[in-house]
Amino acid sequence: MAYAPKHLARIMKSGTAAFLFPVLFAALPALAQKDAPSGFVGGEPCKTCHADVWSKFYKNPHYKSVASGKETAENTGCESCHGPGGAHVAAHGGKATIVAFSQLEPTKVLDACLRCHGETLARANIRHSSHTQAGVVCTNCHSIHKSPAPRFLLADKQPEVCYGCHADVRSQFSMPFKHRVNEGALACTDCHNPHGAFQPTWRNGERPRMMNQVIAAEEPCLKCHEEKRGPFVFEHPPVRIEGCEMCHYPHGSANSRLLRRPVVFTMCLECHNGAPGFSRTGQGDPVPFQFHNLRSPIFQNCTNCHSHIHGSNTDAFFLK
Amino acid sequence: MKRRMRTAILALLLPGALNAQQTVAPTTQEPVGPVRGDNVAEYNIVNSIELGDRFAAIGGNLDSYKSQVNFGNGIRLLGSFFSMNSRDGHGKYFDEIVLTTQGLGNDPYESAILRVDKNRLYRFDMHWRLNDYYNPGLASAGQSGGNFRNTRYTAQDDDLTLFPDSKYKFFLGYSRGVQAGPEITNVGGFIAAVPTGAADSETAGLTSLRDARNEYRVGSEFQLLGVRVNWMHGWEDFKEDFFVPANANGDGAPAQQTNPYHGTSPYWRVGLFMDKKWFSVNGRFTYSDARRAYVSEQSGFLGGAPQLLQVVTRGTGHRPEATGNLTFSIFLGPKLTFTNSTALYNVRTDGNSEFLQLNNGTGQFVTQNFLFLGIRTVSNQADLDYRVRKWLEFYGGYHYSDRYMRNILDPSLPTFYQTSILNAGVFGARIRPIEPLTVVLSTEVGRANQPFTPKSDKNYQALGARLQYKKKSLLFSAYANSNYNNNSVTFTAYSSHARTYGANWTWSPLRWLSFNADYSKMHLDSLGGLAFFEGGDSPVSGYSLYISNLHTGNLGARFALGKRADLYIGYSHVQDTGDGRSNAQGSGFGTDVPEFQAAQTFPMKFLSPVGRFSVKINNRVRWNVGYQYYGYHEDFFTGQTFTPDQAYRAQTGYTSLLFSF
Repeated sequence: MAYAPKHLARIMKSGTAAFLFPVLFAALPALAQKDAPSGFVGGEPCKTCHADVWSKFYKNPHYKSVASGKETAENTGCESCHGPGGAHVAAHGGKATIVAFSQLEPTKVLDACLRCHGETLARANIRHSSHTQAGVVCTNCHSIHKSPAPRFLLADKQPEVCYGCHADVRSQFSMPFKHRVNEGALACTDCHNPHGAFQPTWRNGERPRMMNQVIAAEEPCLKCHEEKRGPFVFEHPPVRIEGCEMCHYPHGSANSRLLRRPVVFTMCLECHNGAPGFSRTGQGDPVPFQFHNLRSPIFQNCTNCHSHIHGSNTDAFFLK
Repeated sequence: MKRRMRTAILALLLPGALNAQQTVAPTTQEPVGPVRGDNVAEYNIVNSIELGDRFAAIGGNLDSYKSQVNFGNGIRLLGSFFSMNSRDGHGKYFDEIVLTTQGLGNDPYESAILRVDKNRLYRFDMHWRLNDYYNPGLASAGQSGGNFRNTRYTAQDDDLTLFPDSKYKFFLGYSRGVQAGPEITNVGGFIAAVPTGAADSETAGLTSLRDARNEYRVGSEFQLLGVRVNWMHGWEDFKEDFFVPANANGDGAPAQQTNPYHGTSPYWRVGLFMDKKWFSVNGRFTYSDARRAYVSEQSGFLGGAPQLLQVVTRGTGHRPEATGNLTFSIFLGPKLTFTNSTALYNVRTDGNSEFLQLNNGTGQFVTQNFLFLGIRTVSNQADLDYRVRKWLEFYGGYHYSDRYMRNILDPSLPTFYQTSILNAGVFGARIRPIEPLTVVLSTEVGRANQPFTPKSDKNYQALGARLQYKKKSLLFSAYANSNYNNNSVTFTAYSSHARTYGANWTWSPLRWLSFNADYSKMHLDSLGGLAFFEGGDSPVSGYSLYISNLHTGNLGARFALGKRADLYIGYSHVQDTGDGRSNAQGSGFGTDVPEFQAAQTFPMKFLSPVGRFSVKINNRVRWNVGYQYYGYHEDFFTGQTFTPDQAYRAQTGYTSLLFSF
């Protein structure tokens, strides 16, 4: 019997189908098990006891995993963070039967959160950040279910979260002269990366750490104080080499303009004293010219005349 | 159930609300309106608006008050909150809108934060803020400088992320910052030949300053061969203009100056990262090129010169900067982690500049080279973290840095080279002996062979200890830090000792009662060599010893009075006790020049008690009233005849309605 090619094709198809069907049928339970791994019960049972969490969970950014309807069981809703809930349901609750973040070691908390949140450049160094070294991990600053903050599920308003540990910084922002963080005009994360920054490239590669970098890799001060970026015909080298904190306290100060000294000339003369071995020439920063009678008030505020002290395009002495 | 929910809400709100409230208004975190919001169609809406009136009565130095506090009188939108969430996560155009504002309309510090989000499709964030900045020159310790500035700084950041939960994300961003207002600054009354400037003489002039920056960003993130790649390209345009009209300062030095100063800073940033079970690697590589072009023009009968002078300086400069970071971590089992991080920094400043002076047709032309400054830094950090037990963890590391600097002041002068090598070791421990108690210890000891300035780190050590006890509603933390640096050279020495101690205590013992208290002492003594002229022909050599003992404390207590009213009282105190002297002249240590003696310590006080009362009129309306006092006092200079008195006393307060509709 001769078969036309189209008949052959039909037989091949039906034969293939006849062969594949039982195989697929046999494999279905296994596939289904892959979709719903052992112990996962879905979010429904959780609502029974944790109604307060569930009732407002639609406002939580994590709700999108539920709304999607396409995620696998281990990536959906409560069980995506707390793990399979079967044992927890069977035991009628209990922290030992489920992943309870209050019971986890810091590194385990990190592992749980970074499973989804790790793929972001801003958190690339979180595992070896100063925070992680000190045992401060995600749930120390973020409140996943009870966040009072409008964004990022923070456990409190941003500066208050940071002040909880950095009480010394709170003191600095209580000073008469300060960046307006408490007033809401600035936030800690304008300058800092709490999730671990890259090693700083300014100064001598040393402290401070946990700093944000702007315009590629510059100190965060230049994000707002753009006019001090330069380049200038005449650079004041410490600005470029040691950074702004050579003369300024970045958080707050008892001295105007966040300066490290209340009177300007004492601060300038600490470097401009001619001590050999320093400065770009290695011969010391020059002592002010003779006509600078330091007992005269006009010379005590150096920046009265040297007003372009961060750099100038027209004057080597930063006069204009 | 209802009562339990109210308890839970109060327990959540109270500790947050009592954290040292620095400004009396807005009335943050007082609940108004239905706790769960209102359902409208498929959305849930929560909103609140606080409209109020501030008052301020200031005695003493108004300029000081404006530079430190600056709250004024009048009606303003003290704060607002609006959120709209889709209840099923399938909103048509958006799933979430959150808008918060503060101080709009009249406050010196204003902000607005907006987020619009559609699940899996886009996320838009906007952050706008305004800072009304006032500085009457250098205004502390009996000084009053000439660099007055009164500007309003506004900044806005807009970021749009497309497909934020996808493996392929796209980023678009725009930021803008504008600083504008009058300033009195040095504009150069005389014009001298550049570059010497030796005969230059300066005078103050009133300018109208305007700085503007615009930054544009575009980037994406994707996976390539198992490595996550994040790249971004941006441009930041900068523009500064100021104009000094002729005879602006009226001091007989009629001059006009304009100074357009523009530029752009294009940059590239590429990030690579991969996080696996037993290792992670990431890198960040950047390149930017800050470019600036400027023209400065001055004209007039300058410095009493009989001829009309016109001076133009112009030039272009650029500063290419390349950086690289590469970090590699190996997780040697669950307890041991080794991390190595290498950073490279390379920058140079270069450009060209011209100085042109015309004197009634007689021209002088000078080409001025940019001061060349090149810096190359290579640094490496190797750290080991070992978790001995669940409650005990150590880390230690070795940091090395090599900074090479090349400097050309003038082509006719030799080029200066300098290499500084820093070796530092770090060590720390985290101990958790019992569940609620955590102790963190840290140490860093470093040695640099060629510090750039006498104040730079040379032989330094930084020690730190932090303790935290947290149980239920009680949080207690204490810390002690010290930073010592010694930088001795042949003829002089610089040493700096900074020590900080403090403690913080937060407790909510009852549902209606919560406390917060913190105290900090910051000690600084800094010894450095001085050389200066005091009118004679020979410079005077001596020492300066600056001593500061700065105490700060904050107290706060909050009481829920029945079901309707809340009372918050607080007190903030900052006091520098100086070196213990009772008058400006001190003991005469170091140099006995009186002006130096007076500047070696700065005892002052800054205190601010605050009280706020909030009462619930009905479920959707609260009435609030508050009072805050600010007092500032400089011990040696307040009440003196010949020094500016910077002290002030300010009675401020507000009343407002907080409502939801």
